[in-house]
Amino acid sequence: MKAKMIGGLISAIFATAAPGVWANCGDLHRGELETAVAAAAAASTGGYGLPMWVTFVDETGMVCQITTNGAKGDEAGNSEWLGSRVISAQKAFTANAFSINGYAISTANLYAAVQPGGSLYGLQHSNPVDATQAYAGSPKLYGTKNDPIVGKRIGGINVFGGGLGLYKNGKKIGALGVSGDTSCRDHAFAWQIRGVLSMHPVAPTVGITTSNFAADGSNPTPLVGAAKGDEMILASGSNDYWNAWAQPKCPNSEPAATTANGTLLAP
Amino acid sequence: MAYKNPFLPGLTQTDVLRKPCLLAIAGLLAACGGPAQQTSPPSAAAVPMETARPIPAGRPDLQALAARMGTGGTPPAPEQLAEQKRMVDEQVAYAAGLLGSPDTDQQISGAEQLAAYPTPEAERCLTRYLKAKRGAEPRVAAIRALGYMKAPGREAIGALLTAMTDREPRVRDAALQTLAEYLNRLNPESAPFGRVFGGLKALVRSKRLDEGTRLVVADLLAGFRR
Repeated sequence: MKAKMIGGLISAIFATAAPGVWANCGDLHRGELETAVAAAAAASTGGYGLPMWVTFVDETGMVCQITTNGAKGDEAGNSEWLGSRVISAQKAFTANAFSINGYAISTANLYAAVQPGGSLYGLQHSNPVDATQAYAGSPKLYGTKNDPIVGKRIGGINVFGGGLGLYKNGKKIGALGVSGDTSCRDHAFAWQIRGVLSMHPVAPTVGITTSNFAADGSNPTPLVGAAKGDEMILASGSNDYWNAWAQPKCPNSEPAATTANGTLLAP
Repeated sequence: MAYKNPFLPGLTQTDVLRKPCLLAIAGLLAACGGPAQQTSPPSAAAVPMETARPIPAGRPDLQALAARMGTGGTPPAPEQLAEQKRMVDEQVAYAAGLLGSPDTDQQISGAEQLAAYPTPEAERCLTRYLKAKRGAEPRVAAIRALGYMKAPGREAIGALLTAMTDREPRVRDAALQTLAEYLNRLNPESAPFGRVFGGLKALVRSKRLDEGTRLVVADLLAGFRR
């Protein structure tokens, strides 16, 4: 109790007095991001091995960086899926919007709950993409440091794999969004990037896979391998509790279902 | 998923995040523990208030965790707004540099890019560009980019009205399209609207437009009561 009071007091002091407690784009520089993307591209993450779009947003959802390991500029649309450019920003926005200090939720975790009959049905239609922000600007700059979505809050809610919150010193500093291949590979790729950046959530931060409730208030036993809290669970189709937080398997996803890729298999 | 502080039920999330002292109080109170139902993961079945159970030993109290670690508020802080402005200004400066390139494709790219960052400086750059002697295609791009400006100034509107009598039909068409967008978007009581409307009306009367365009503009203006 005394420790809680002291912790609350410290929190109160920070909230009222300290400058610079807010995270900003400086938490992740472009060079660091591109190095991590290159490392993820070299890892075994399943899918089709297509080039990826990768977006980093700060904790207000503003796009700080967007890059691709495919072609940049007006050749991008013939090298990687052009639709994935805005989708990567959407996934980053989503993971940021639904991860907080202490509790991490990946976009993959949302898939089942937003289906008809699920407890978050319709969530994907909240917070729509701001199309005036997402599609303006010069295509010649797509994927470069001057990409026209930099500095914008694109919005959008995406509910399959590829979006992960980013954590530093116990605080959520923003999120990553990856798109360009199967959603299963998108998640694994994002997980690899987050690992290289050392921005996985760590204890006491928990998440959907490590700290959850059943409808009756009981605490289901986490799956073997659940460690960070926002691992993707691939559905098995059984009635096991964890299938309610799973997303479907993708082409070439089972060989990459490893803890290194933040991917678990439902019983 | 609206946040509601269990100790200050009249307080909205917006209030908490804009008022650091209130946030501090919320943090202190949260650190002292709160009702169990407020710490459920977002999509757990709701536990009625009257049957709420205390957090079992060893289970994380999520609100207390978040309060202890500072805050993860969504609305931007002044420092973040300043950083966003810096990033936008850098983008505008880069795009303005492209406008000044000897390469036509780069000039078009610069104009398109300024449409994504419709600041007063972007508007000044595009207006200056329009007034200089440039090729038709990049001027069309600049005219279209001016269509993204939220509150176009006197000079921008003047440059667009001048473009209505340009030798190049593509330039004239683009200017008309942008001016029509302004009429549809701007507040009819506003000064910019008045300048656009008045300028187009004067053009119709001056007979400097070809007959086809004159009829189109007259028809456009007839849709607005002035």
